[in-house]
Amino acid sequence: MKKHRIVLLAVSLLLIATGALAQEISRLSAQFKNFDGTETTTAVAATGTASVPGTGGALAYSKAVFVPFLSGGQVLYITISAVGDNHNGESNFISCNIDGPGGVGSLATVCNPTPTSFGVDIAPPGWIGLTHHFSYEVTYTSNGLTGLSSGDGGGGTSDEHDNAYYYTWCKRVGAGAHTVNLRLGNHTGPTVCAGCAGANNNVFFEKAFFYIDVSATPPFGACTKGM
Amino acid sequence: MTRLILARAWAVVAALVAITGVAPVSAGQQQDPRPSAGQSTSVNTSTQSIKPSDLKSDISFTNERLSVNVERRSLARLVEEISDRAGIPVMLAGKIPHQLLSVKFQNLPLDQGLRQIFANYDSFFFYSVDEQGISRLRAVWIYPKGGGQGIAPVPAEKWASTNELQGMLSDKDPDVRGRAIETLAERKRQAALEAVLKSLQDDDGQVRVRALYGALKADMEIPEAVLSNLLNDTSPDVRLVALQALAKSPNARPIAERALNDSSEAVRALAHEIAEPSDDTTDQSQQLNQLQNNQPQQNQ
Repeated sequence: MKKHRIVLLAVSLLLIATGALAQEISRLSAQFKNFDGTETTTAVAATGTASVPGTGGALAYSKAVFVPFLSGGQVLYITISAVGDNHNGESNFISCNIDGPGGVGSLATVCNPTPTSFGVDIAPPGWIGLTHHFSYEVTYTSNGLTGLSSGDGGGGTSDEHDNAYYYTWCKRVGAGAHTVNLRLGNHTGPTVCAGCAGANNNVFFEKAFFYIDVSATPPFGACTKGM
Repeated sequence: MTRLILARAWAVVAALVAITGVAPVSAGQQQDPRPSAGQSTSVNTSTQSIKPSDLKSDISFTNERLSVNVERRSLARLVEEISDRAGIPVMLAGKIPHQLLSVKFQNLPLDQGLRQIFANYDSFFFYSVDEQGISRLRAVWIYPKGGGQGIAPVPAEKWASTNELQGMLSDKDPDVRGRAIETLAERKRQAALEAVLKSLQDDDGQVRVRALYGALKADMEIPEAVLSNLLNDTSPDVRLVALQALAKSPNARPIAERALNDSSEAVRALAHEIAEPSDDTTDQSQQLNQLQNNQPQQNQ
């Protein structure tokens, strides 16, 4: 046997055509909650800073999964599909973290790719503003301020209860055991503004589905920043 | 076996986009390396249908250095001669037009010399690290210009036969063992039980968890006693997957209660989920708060 053929036997890989360049997505978990008239709710304010994002609020969902070993590394996709309500016009914030200690976010664990200052959605670093509603009043209340009437972004007085909200994060993770945590929080905290309609500042979601998926690192965008 | 391996190598087609997770491969056109001082290099190609000349054939590979001095030599023959002398496979793939090359250079490192010869082709150079920790060129694939787009290297477990995978179970590299047992479980399912049980006793935690995860994915029936014992495994990954595998057992709840104080937060989270199943009529916030505040104890 010629030497180079012996060497070829030791070359344990093969170049092969890849007609499909995208990576397969494998579903690790699919769960639901609050389909019986109950809701997940909190009146704890979402908090966070650029150095410690994704704090505050309350732990709303937690799921441990085993992320398999995939060639080139793994990207996790976390999806919430639900219906949200807010009292007193509070913003409905959601934060995702992977393996946050005690379910609380940190710089290394939040799913938001970069910690920022409060975004256009006024969500603290590490949080996403998924819904923001207004009361059925001539003047309305929003995030602790009363007597408002000019609307939000020029939309005028309106009520937007029970809006569906759907969000997917991606995050690169190592293979092995991981805990996915979703936190729910509002803007103002529990203190109800004077004259505010409603007895509390709670935000809610109900009829929720949660999906946790994984793929090998995609070749054209490895959960990286786009243009 | 040799012909089969070679046949597989020759069956490569299509294009490469990203190469990740496999031994490093440099692909595509390389910058022409500068020749050492005092050495002249030239590569002339001709596509004329002229019979190759037998005037000169001088190819040597000494001290890891390649010297070539040929005139109007067919590409295929040139590749074969270099491959024989250097001891590495150089494979022409795709439809490479017949060409005659006149090449002249002396004492270049092998990969540098090959890149000079194949400067007008797409190429893949496979390097691996030997036992001395030295990265060495192991194989080269040559494609027509533009013909290398969209090709990806595929690990052995994707194309190896089941017998070949069985052989990999005793490889010294735990990554190879792990990939092999996971693929075996996927292919043979319950018929791979003996191999899975053996891999569950591997010294390496990665092998154990890949064996267990592969079995779980393949819906294999692992004895409950084995799974229960794995809840004491030193690897939190193994404990998590074992607990998940036990979730369907009639004894799942008392088993999960034992894991409520596991040192791994992920194991504790799953244990809570199994031991205290979510009931929409219960106060879920209490469950989640308990999970958040639970103090771990050292796992034995």
